[in-house]
Amino acid sequence: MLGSQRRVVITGLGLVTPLGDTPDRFWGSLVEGQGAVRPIEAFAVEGLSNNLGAEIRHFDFLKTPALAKAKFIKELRKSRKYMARDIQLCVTAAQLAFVDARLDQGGVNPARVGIDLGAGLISSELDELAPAIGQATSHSGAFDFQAWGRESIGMIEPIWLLKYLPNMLACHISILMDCQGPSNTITEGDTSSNLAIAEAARIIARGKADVMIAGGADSKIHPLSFVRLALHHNMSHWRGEPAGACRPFDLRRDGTVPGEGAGILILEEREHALRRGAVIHGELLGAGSGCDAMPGGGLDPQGSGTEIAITSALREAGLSPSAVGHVNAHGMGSQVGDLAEARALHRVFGASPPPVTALKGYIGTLASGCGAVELIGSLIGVNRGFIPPVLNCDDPDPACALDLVRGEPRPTRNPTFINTNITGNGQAAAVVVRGTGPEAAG
Amino acid sequence: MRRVVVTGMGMVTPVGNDVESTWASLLEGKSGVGTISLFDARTFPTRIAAEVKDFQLDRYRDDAGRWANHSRNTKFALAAAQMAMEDSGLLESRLPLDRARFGVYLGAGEGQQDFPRFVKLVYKTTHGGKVATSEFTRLGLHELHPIAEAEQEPGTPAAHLANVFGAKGLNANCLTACAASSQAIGEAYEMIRAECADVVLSGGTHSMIHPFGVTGFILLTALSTRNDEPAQASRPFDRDRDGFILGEGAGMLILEELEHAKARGARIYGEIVGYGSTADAFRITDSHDDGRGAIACIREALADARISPDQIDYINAHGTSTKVNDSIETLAIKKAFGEAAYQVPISSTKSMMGHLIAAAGSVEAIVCLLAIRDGVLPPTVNLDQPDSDCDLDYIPHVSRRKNVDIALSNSFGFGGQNITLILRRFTD
Repeated sequence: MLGSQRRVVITGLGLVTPLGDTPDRFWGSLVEGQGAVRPIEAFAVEGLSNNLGAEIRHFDFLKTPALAKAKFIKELRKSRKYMARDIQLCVTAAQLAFVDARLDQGGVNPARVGIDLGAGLISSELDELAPAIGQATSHSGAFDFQAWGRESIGMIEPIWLLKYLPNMLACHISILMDCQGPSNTITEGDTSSNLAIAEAARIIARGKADVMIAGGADSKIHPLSFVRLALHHNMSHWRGEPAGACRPFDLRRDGTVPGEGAGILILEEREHALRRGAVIHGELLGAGSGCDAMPGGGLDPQGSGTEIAITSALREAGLSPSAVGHVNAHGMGSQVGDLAEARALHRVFGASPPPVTALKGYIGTLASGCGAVELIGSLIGVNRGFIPPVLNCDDPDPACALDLVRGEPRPTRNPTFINTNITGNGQAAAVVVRGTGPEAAG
Repeated sequence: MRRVVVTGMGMVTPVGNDVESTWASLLEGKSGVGTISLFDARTFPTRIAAEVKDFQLDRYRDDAGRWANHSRNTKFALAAAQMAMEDSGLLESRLPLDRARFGVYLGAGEGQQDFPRFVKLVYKTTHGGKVATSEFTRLGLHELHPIAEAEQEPGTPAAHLANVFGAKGLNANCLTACAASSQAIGEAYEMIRAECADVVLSGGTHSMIHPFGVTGFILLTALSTRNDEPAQASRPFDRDRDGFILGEGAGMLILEELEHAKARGARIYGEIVGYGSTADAFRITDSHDDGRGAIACIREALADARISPDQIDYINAHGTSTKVNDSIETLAIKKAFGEAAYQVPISSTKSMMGHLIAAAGSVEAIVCLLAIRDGVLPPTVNLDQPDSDCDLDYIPHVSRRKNVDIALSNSFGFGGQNITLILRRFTD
């Protein structure tokens, strides 16, 4: 596994999502089919195909119980003004995972603790720039660079740039939690957190760290992110009940909606975890990445990048396709993307792919955070003995011909699953995880 | 353990639009710094930078028209990668390349905001100092450009390169500020060692010479304001240094598993033998006072390479020309190297190229391989009066002949990101 004697297990989970910030609440929503997609409240949206999103409402960063009790709360009060929302969500999830893994009590060598996260392109808050832009624009609408240089620059917060750098999620966490080992940030859209989890596992496998904080976070609840999704024709046009807007593998699927959230896993070398009596939620068995590499760009309708990613991940895990209990698919809810993914699964698994789920019906796309959150969704499912269902797949597309888990969670005795994601550019990443199953998880 | 060699290189820099012209400029001590021409920066506190000059993608690729609306990052990346692929011989190799074992791992920066359209949109939709988001979204759909928006995603160049060169294997992009492309090379090396790929196109591309980029660094007081003497503004380790100079460009390397390279008779520039990655875990704005993370990083790379500090023949420093970086980096080299620190020649090529931010490390790794190839070290220009705590051999002013078997390159990023790479002359 991972080409090493050093096995990599999962000893902590942290979630901050539109479905709640504990595994129990998250799972409860999946079981009840309670999606979080609604008209957004954060700001007004007009002129796009819809104003729907999966928001984390009532998020009060410093008052989050996990942080209010943290020993670094004083430092956090000072540094919060340097933190974009993506960073705040991720810091919270990391602390939840750290506490879940019982690492907050210390006792682990900080030089052997690293971090590897998926993060997105973070947009500046528009109101931070509006006065400076106004200052440098004449009434006729012409922009004056000289006025910008003379007057506008000084109107922006001195720390502005650092508030939005994608590596700042990892940097703030490494500072607050004293992680002095390897630190990396992957910025590759929707594949980011799967790539980061895979890389973190390899860092442990090759002996460069004993503990890695891995996963990712993103917030696409931003006016510019809404415009971009629409510009790239990925936004759902759904006119029915808002919760039905994102419909993975459904006949009437026509796009996705923006979401936000963070998912963090504590990965740990198995012996290290056993020595300190950590609770083990599962094991990372293998990972793979691939790319559609279409000469003209975009997605391969045949799903070749996904196929390569999954095949490589299985090879690294030393597993045959028949050993896989289910697949947590990217299931973006687009016509081309979901069909391409289905074709890839048919080529990897032959005539009868294992049951397939996809969670974007509940939470839209968390972009750089989606892989980690979806992985955790499957992991907490199999550790309860179930595969979580796809929301809004009311009329499964016969062209996809997949065994989709629909309606309610499906019982399973096989805790091994594949989590796979892909970007609109055809960059794919898959990880193979084995949960402990319901008996061990207790 | 599988060995990883470099079999192709390409770069576009402020001192040359390919490998050989960049290298010739560096050896001559030629500065690429001048007054900013990409936009009107006349009233900016810093109005100088090291721009890439006379760059035209059609000199490198026949399909330049297709990329006309794409970002500077993408164009630099395509040019540098084209040169690296041609240089490697992979484009006309007799041996078929297994596409699923051929990957891309970049440390590319974010693309620049579509400044004219974006500021116009914000201006039109601002009322009483606040943006009316309903207007912003309604107008934005018509006024923003889909390609210009997509190009801002840092993972985009990695997809473009995979598409044009048919790399169907691993695909990743990391963005760890100024350490990004060194880290990409380090992780790509680990991926080949771990049998996840046989060939990886790795490196970085970045331009932050745009109004928001320059504004951001001015606000952090990180840039030199020696506006009247551009060629003297980047002066790493000098007593009178006052900040860094923004550069731009791309560096691309073909990393290849040794047996794969030998089987196709590839020319080998050198071997990657050491990689270190640590976090300061200190402050988002400053390096750790005692260089804790940098020291650990250099030591980790030396341990990975299984060599002692006295075997290092050349260090390409991060050497940004900021007060803090150059002092702390010097301290870290002394702590990690002990007595050997005073014997090893060190230079900062940022004294000539400026700071290519995410792309810096990739270009500097190529410089190390060229030093190994040619037995000559590029200088640190403008080092007139070394700072009192900068007392090592920084190769001031002029290049120096010296046989180099092993070179070390440091890259440090905002937030306490540290990366060290060690490159070695190839011997079987």
